[in-house]
Amino acid sequence: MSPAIIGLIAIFALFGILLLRIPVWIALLICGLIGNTILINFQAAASITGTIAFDTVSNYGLSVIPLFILMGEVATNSRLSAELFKAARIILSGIPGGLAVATIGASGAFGAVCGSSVATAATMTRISLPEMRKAGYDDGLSGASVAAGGTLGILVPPSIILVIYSAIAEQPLPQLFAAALIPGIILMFLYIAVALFIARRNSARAPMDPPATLKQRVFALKDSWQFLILFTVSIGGIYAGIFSPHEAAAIGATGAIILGAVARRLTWAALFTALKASAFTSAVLFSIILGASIFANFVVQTKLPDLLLAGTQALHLAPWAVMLLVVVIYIIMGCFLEGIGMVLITVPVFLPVVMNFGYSPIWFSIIVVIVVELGMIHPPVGMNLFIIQAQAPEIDIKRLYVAILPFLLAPFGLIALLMLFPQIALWLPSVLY
Amino acid sequence: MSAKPWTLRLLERYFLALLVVAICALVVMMGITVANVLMRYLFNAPISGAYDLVEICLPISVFLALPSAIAAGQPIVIDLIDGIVGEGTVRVLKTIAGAAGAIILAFLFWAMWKPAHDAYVYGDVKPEFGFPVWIIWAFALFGVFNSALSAIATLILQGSTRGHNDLQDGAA
Repeated sequence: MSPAIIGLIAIFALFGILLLRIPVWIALLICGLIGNTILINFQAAASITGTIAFDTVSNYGLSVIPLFILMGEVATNSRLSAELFKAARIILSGIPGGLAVATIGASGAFGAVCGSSVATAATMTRISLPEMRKAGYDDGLSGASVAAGGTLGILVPPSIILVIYSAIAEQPLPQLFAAALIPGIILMFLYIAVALFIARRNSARAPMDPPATLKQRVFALKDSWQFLILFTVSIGGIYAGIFSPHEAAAIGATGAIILGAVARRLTWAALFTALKASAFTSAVLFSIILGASIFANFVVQTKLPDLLLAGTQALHLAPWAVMLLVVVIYIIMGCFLEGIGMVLITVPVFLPVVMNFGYSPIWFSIIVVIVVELGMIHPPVGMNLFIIQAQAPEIDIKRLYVAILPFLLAPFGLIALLMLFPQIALWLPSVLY
Repeated sequence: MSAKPWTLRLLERYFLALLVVAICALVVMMGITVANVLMRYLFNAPISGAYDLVEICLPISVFLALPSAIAAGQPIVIDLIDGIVGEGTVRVLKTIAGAAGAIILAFLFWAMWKPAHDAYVYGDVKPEFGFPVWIIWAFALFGVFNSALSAIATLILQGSTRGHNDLQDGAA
């Protein structure tokens, strides 16, 4: 049996094991270990496993992950997200669907200091969902707005997925962060357009807030000063070339703690909660990265990417058709796989193929993040929908599945835009670097 | 509600202590980086060894937080099957997953031992700091050992309480 076939079997076996409730990182490690044992021998496979486990977790490039997570956790625990929502609500008052738009806008802004889709969705569920329900919003629209807005957390920089992509695809993180900014803003506006369309079609689903005065709107802007400082210093610092991503993450986390303390919104207990959650989340993410690194090491040795490349070349497909195929595969995988694991398994396989067809690895990173986002909100899993349902069990999950459908148009629209106009992602990095 | 046995309370506190060390490593990582940036921009004197210190603190933070994360049931699981099969089957699958986790962690400890020993024998050190690499390996091994212990404890508790896990309540 050829190594490539062994690789393919291992991928299917991985899906099987995952469906049996084995934790994602354990499943990846088992498949990688068994695969390497078949390809080489057990001693070598064990040695590879031990070395990769340590090297992965000691990788300086990945040290931004716990620090960006900490920045997001501190921002959450110091109620920064609540201030963002409050400001957006006042500014957007008097617009049909204004609260849904405020939720999406605040999620996009919060994503700029958070980096995690689940954290953004969980935070906004606590803050905006009760307000929308109080205002008489339809439960489906409320939940769908939170779920869709939450996905902005992994596209708008800093993005944990992009950090991981940067490490495995060996692409400079500042360029990836720069590439994600404009698509992130476009996606936010696309989500807003969907919410406005739904609200205009049926105003009973999204009653209007009484309009605020101009003065109130201007004053509302000042409530978001902490967010502006954090984003400008950390992400702006990367764009300006002042800090490395690791330094920006550390400064962002420290800044979030100082700002929370100055505004008297971050208690010692809240700080400990944020630190504990950061350590937990980092440990879980690194365990997945560890397992996926071992699995990816095996997949690369099987030369499966070469087989895939030869296969696509033999089909004489146009580059856009290959990309379409890759996107479809990602969407199918997103039905079953968790985002980070999916990126770690697939990027080493797909990236050589995509690059061979003339696509930029930086552009591809944005496509990957968008398809991961889609997986966060489309059935049958849709992690963000589960997060909302877990916090608001009275909202039926089936209702959320239906309500989210129009919002799926936005990421699909963005993928189409990116395929037609790659400069949407590539322009800013080309200007900055 | 029955009182928790002393072994359980001891384990909870032990894992919490490890988590506190992990948090300290995270704070040091953040602090040294900020200090390095400030020293570089304000006094043109970057801290020598800051890069190494981050590489030392990262595995300590991750590996020592892992036992608590496992005890809290944090590792990500695809639970699509829960809606298809009965509760009994889910319980069996959870037990199998727990056993697989414990075995893999024990294997990982064994697999990491040899390269850790090599780092000790060959006297590997960090380039800037001169810090012995085997000490970081020792922290990593300690974390993996405790993660295996956590997985075994979780498994035993899961079996004895038929699904409800007191250790998860405590750690979370």
